[in-house]
Amino acid sequence: MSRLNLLLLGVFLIIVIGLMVWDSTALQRGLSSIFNPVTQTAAKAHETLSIGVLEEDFTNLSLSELQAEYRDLQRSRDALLVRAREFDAIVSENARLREALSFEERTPYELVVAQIISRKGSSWYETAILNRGSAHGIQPDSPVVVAMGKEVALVGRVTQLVGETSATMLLLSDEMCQVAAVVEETQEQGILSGTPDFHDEGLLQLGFLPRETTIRPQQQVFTSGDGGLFPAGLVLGTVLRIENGILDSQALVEPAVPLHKLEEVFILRPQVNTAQNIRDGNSSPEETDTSTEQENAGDL
Amino acid sequence: MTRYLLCLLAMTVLAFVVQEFSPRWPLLWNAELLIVHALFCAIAIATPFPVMLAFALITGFLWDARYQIPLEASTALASSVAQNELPFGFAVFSFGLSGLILQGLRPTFREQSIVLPVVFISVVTALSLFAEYCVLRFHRGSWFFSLGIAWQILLSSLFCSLISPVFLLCLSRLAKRFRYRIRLDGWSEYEAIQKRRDEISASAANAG
Repeated sequence: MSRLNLLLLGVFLIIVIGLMVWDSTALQRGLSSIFNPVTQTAAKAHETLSIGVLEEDFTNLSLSELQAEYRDLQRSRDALLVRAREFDAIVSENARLREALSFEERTPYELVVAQIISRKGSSWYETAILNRGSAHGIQPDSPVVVAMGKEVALVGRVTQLVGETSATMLLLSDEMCQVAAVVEETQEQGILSGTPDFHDEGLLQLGFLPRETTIRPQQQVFTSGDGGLFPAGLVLGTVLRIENGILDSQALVEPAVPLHKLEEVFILRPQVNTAQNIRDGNSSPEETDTSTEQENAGDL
Repeated sequence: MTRYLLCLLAMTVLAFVVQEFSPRWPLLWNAELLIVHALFCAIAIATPFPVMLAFALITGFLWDARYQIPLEASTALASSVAQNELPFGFAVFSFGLSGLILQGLRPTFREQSIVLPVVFISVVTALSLFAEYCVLRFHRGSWFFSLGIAWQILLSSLFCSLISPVFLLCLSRLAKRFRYRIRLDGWSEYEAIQKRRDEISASAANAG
């Protein structure tokens, strides 16, 4: 190897070490946002293919069937609007009562609708890219949930903001997404996370349980709310089986929703000003919620 | 040479764009088509050492920017400062090391043989993926290796080697198009010695 090549190799190694030592988060974020249009185009291409499949399904329906479905949807919407009004009234009443009792206020959350635009991330992580970012008030560690009938299921958390209009979400099935959990019937607490051992089966692991655990299969697991990262009471999954170890036990949990089939999710954004606004009379909860809905609908 | 290098740079950027459209295949143990890796390996074989290092820097930098995920080292109970599990710059190092190994195959590529380069592209890709996984496990403080992960690494590297002949052929054609000669280190000195030797033998023959 010539002297010039050795010199260049030395410079190369110095640059590599410099990159490793230097805090590159801001630079990485900036560069990631450059890739954003490409990522979104790729996602749209995938989406177009999916819509093509869906359209084929809809064309099988007759006009009368479509009209019937439309009427059903209208009825559901009207019912939900009535419930939303009731809910708004309860929220404002709750805020007034809390103030009257000087009750310590819980951090309320606001829902931001987001779509998964890409599932492509690093080879070793279970991630998805969402079409909401810092411009929508999203912050790292914001919980990501989906509606599941009357309950809300946790599916992951935001781990990185990529530019203003997208964010990376770490799915619950990843080993690094750890959640403080509690089993409904027994109230036993543990840490729920993805596990490489049962990754292929799509199962989660509820660890740090006492050796003589009383948990049984089919019991439901919820977030405990400890630590304040995730609100309490979000559904995580159902216990499938228990594995007793020498020192402790672990339960294998089936996620509440199939994590690889997610398309639309909700990001929980801390709602700092709403309660204050209600107290100050700046805006009614109805107005705040309506504006958020409009913003979400407009962006989507 | 400049036009050839600019073309390689454009191909690298294009490879990153195409990589976005390349999905992971859950049915094949999450293996994926690593187009960027395949192109870089082909470039490492077809270009001189300084150019290979420059491309390792550019490709690795872009790879880290796009595919590194800074995870808050959060536990279930609290989150702390965001940090990369794999340090930023790891891909630069990994590409550089792969390129260093592949530089040894330049003579075979110059002789229009692609069998050995293709095999080595598969090997270095598998090694770099395995190294990445090892660093990740070291960071997490627990070792785990399953058949699924072995298949993921092997199939990804296999796909990489399968598409590499296209890039090798493409680079060879581009070199001809831009009249770029794939030279080995010390090749000009070797040519000068050969020329001098021919001159001496010619003059000796004339004298005879």
